[in-house]
Amino acid sequence: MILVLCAVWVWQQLPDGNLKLVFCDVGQGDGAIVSLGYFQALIDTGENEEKILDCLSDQLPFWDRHLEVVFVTHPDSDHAGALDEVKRSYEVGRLISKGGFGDMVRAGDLWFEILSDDMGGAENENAGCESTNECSLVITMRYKKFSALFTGDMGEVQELALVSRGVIKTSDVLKVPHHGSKFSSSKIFLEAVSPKLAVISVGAKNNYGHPTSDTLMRLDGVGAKVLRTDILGTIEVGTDGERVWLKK
Amino acid sequence: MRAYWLIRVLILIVLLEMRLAVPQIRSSMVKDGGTIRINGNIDTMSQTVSNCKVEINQFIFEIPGWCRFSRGDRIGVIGNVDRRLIDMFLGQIRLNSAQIDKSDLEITSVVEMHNKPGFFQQLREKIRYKFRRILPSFEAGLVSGMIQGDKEGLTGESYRQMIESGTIHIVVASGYNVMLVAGTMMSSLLWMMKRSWATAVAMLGVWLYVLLAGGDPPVVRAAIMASVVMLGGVSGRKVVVWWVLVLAGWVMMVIEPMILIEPSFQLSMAASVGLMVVYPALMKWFDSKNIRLIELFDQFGLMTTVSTMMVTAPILWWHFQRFSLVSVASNLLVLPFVSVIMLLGVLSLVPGELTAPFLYASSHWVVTVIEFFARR
Repeated sequence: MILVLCAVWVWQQLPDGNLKLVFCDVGQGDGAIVSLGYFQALIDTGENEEKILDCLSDQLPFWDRHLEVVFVTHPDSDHAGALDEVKRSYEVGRLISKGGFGDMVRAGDLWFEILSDDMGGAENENAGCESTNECSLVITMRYKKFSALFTGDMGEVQELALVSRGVIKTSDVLKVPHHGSKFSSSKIFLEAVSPKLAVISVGAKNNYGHPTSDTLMRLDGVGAKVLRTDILGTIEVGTDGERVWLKK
Repeated sequence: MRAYWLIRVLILIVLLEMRLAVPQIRSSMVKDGGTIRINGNIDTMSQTVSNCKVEINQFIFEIPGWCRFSRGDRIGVIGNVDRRLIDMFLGQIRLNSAQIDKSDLEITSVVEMHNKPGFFQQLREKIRYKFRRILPSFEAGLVSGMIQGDKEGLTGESYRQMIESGTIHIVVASGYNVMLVAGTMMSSLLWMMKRSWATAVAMLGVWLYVLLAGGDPPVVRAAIMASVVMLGGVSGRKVVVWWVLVLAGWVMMVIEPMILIEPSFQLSMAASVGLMVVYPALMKWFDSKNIRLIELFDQFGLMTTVSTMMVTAPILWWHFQRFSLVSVASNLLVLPFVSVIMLLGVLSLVPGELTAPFLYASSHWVVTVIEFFARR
């Protein structure tokens, strides 16, 4: 009986060969899983340990307890608060919390490239950032013709710097910076990204008023379809590298 | 013969009365009815349906909602001294309207507690994390709960689902766990040493397990019963099971009279009555009516489930105003896997990777059943 169950669960959880981009509902914070076959990357952990572990449990096959890469965009608790718990529950291959423009992680056709400058990490007091948010790692992810942009909590200053350097390209999916704060997602930045899908990872009834109506209007202005974790819960985007679909 | 038993019962009642009459002592630490703030590390913690029951040193209180802490966590609590319920053995003080300390209310006294997590508490946590390394979170919490009666590995949502599906009892360390510990130890030790020594070591093992399981009423009750049965075995005396159950309950009430109002104590005793009294009576009745189909149901554990439910249902209704009929179906699908999961769980603590797939297969089945019935 147990062997039969084992076979059923394995068959049910075998990876299908498509790329999955999962924006976990971690409350007020960020936590996203990128998985392709047996490769999994976690981008931020959020603060709520239960929520990120539940999300990882739902997304990874039961026999895979290894996260190949964990990116921490910056050390604020709503992005890295559950990191210790993740490390206690999963083997983490590589933890990336700092890096500079051009640094890459590659797994077959899947590429991650850091676009932000190397400030020595946000935890470095000499980094020269106004706040930890401004030192956020900005990561672009590419898989065949598909691309996504992860932005941590970067603000308008960092956005404009990246746009002016010409490193921001169009992306199919944008993880909206700083949970939809009005001090991020500037018009110039959004026009440079021109996302089809804009994901706002935000807690319901949060104290910060995220996402702001200004940001929502600017996203609407560039024609992005807005998806919010406070409304939809965990959001799963699938792609074979060309077509993109949302899992209901 | 009947008079002999009656005298025994009367002696127990008289002794219990004397215990209850022990004058309550007063503590100089707190004022009667006053508001106090306690800062300390959590000693024990258990979840009721709507509250989190916490014990810090001798202070006991309930906080509304889900238990969001772990044992050993340091918290501050403000509450009113309910009654000077302090007894000779445990010196407990109950607080009412207890709330997590977030403000600077006017308080009459501050009590600082410095409790370090004990050995067993640390061991429980290590075991919990061992399961988290090899299983998804719900399955890990479930297996940890089944083995050590530990609900701290469960999330609020999974706890709710288990209550709604009528399966929460499987994460309570109970007589079944104690029976497994005692039985395994006795059968393996008898190969190596004399019966009297094997019994002594097995009893020690059982009581160490009680400490590991946090000393909840069901497991203490079962450990007392197992100890009496094992001692009876060594001394060659006949064991009257219902009498052992009465003695176990009595010992627990003598140590802590307030346990009588604890749902977990009442349910544990009721479940034992269901298994020891109702189940044999029910089977005998069906046998006398020559209903053979019942033997098939019995093989799947349905009759034991029904027997315990018949006794526990009124208590559940009294405390929680709920009783779900779906729990018969959910338990029928879940119970055959409980012993397998416990066995695989224990084996997974050493070379986890080998048994992990099978442990996952069985525990995920239980999770699937829980989620299915919780939705309905």
